[in-house]
Amino acid sequence: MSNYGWTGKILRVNLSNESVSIDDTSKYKEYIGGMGIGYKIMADEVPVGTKAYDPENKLVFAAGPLTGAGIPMSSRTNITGLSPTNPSNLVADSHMGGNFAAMMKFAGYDAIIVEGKASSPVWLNIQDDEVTLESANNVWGTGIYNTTAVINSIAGKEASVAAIGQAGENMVNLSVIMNGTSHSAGGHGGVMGSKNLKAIAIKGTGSVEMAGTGKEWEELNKYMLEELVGANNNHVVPSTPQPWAEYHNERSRWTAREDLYWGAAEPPIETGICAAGDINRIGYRTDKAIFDLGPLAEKYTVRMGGCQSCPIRCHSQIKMPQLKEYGVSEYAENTCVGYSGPNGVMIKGSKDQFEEGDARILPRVLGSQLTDDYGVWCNYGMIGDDFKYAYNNGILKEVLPADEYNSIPWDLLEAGDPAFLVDFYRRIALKEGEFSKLGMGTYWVAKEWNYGDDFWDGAEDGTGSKIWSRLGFPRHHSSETAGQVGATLNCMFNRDAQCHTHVNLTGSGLPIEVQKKVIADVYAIGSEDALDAPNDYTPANEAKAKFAKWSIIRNVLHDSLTLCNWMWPMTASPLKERNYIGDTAIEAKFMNLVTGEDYTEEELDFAAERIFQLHRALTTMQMGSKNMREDHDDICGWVFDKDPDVEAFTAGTNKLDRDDMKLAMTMFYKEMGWDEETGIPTQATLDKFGLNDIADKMSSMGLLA
Amino acid sequence: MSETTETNVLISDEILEDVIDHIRQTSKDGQLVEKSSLTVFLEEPKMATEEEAPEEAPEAETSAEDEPEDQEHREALMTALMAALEASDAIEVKTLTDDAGAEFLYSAAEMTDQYASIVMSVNNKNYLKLIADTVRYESQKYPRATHISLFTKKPYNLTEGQLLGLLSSMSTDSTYADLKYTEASNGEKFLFSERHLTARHAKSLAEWEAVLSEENP
Ligand code: SF4
Repeated sequence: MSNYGWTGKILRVNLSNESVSIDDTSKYKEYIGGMGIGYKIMADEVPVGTKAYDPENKLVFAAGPLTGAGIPMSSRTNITGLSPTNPSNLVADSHMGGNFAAMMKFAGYDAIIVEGKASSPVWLNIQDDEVTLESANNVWGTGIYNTTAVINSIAGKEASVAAIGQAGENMVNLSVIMNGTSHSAGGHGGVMGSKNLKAIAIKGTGSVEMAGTGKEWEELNKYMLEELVGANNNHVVPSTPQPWAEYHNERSRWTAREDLYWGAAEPPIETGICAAGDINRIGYRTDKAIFDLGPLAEKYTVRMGGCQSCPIRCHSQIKMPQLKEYGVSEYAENTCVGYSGPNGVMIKGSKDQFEEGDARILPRVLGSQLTDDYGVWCNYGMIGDDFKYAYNNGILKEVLPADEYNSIPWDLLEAGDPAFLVDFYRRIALKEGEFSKLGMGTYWVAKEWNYGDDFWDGAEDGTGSKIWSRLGFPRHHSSETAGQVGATLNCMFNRDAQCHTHVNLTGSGLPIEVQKKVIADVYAIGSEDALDAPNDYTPANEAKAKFAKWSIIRNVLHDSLTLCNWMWPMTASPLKERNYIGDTAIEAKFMNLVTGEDYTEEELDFAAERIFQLHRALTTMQMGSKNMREDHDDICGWVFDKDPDVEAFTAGTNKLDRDDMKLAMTMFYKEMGWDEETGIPTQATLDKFGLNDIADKMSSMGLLA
Repeated sequence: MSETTETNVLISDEILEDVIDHIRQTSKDGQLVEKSSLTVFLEEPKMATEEEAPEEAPEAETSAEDEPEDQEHREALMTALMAALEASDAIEVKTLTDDAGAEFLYSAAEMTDQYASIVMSVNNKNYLKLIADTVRYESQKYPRATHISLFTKKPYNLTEGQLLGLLSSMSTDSTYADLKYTEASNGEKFLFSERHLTARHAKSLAEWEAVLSEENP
């Protein structure tokens, strides 16, 4: 293993015996980094059957060789551990941006393994080689904002602090780990709390060594920024017609235009037109404030923020004095579901409070403040749907003691007043009463409160919640995104699929015929049949199975390198002269530049597939499943039963057909080298990826076909 | 000197550069350059004219309307300028002609044909046809239903009042019988062409754009 890219060291912290040691990264080289290191450690060190809150569960904070090397969008931390939200506590990943990952590399570590459980609350203080455990008594019981401020005052203001709030401390299943006070990794906060670990502060003064020259680095970056990169989610057309652009799309995140301002900046700054190729204006392209919060947000926008080494800046920073009325700071920062998740809790809608139109913005920014400080996760918005079902079906009246029920400010909820959120999130984070079971996550709360089949499968007309799997996770760019492609990959993880490979293209704003040409150009797919026009689907085919596989594999690759899959891969380009075709080999080019190795695109994908095969094997073993198709990959009924008046494959519906989806899954299993009936990796496949030890283990458990 | 034509008129590099900058910037700003407006560049004192009589040019510019030979000279200059632009590696100039026959220019690097043709339709005030062409194009090409607010944005720039009036006259004109309305569940209105989308498909696309895409960030 070269000394370039990787630091070569993994920090192991045992909280039970307060020991610290160093592992060599080189034994994980086949697993690249990030997610790959995480799964390998889980496979090697955490016994099958361990539960998420057992001290034997581990948390692996890992980055990849590209992080810290100034590669665009590369400061992502991948956190791996058993997850409490699903019934078998299956392995899962949570991811955070910010600057934690880069700082970890600068301190000299590719990963941090946290194991055991501290006897009392502690925080981990990493200052390059100096690693100490400090008492967290002074911050335990306080929110993430205070914790971060206090720890920064001790560890230094340059330190990156990844902390949990009260939700994590109380082992609320739906809780986050967060750095930079807005970059959150959902799902593992409770595991950190179970270990009595309040935070990790890390300050690194080193750098990442790179094999290539500065000039080569600059040229490759320039090529990428000039020719490949668009706006957030790599949307490659602007949201309004603009002189330079052949196409536009109102839902594009390339929202910059004339007369659009960061209105709360002093003085206000006009985003202006930011044409493709103009690399000095990339940071203005994505005005995420108006995209997430509506037009009123323009005057409250201070600027866009984002992760280390990212020119895109997808986090909006808001200053809204009215927030002080709710007892919180007037400042908020977040993006996407960080805003829309809390809005979904306002199940009776929201009404304007201080000015016309603020119903769109207030619940989102207030909710994001509350959830970020308490450290509550929304399960990709599912907490709102879980609550809605219980409220609308009278379940809360049945299961809550009368006193508790009457103490909840339902009048605020019914009146559409976002002040309701203040009460809602306090109960969840502090585990107050029966109501707080909503924080257990969908699977558990549905079980505890006995939700009906209609919760999972939808009403007779197919309308219902966003739930995708009976394991408790919601859809996340599923059947509404490229039909069977999104549907297949939504079944493959142990939480909501955080895969954006496919949706970055379908949401790129390009016309369908252009998208088809772009996808046909991807070496692993090679056919326009991989993609249908939106809401005009065709039956399953091999190209779609390949597209689903490639989407997952690239997502896994990014989480291992580590790159932001909310941007990568560069499948499409904003340039007409490239026929809008991007460059899917650029990950390999950056990898070779940084590490001095000689990877092809195919070789990197092969390594990423190894990681995903291991994930599947770990999942199979933890479930003890002999039929993953039935036990794991099952899809809730509404996906097939919606729009009862038309058949699947009619223009105007994105419903799927059960038999066709079964076939799609079989085709996907075949692409993956899994048993086509059970969806379990075969011995030959595991051998092909050097996972012989895993094959032996599965065989001894009677799980190999 | 940049270019010689059959009439022996020369365009200085300086002038050519200024004209190129002007076309580029105007295109960037989303407007077309009327070809005749470029005469202003040809009237500059720094303008080089016929090789044998350069110092006579300033006088010619002031009496152009009255003197047929000056008119001829100006045409020669314009021809030379267009030839110089055509020959220049620094810009690819494209031309459109409006309904009255006037020529307009734009820079291909700064403005797409698509955008230029919308601006030209707006200049021609061919609003009904422009709306219909846009809706048909979007229904076929993307495909998507067209949010009616599109036409109040640049470069369409219609006021809401104008738009409502146009849409109402459109509904009674059989030329546009294929254009239909659809509405998302939040009340936002869209147009689509029945030639390319079924009503159901259009409605589902409108619902996605106005409502569902926000719920699936
Ligand atoms: S696109 Fe957003 S999440 Fe991704 S790296 Fe950039 S700022 Fe971070």
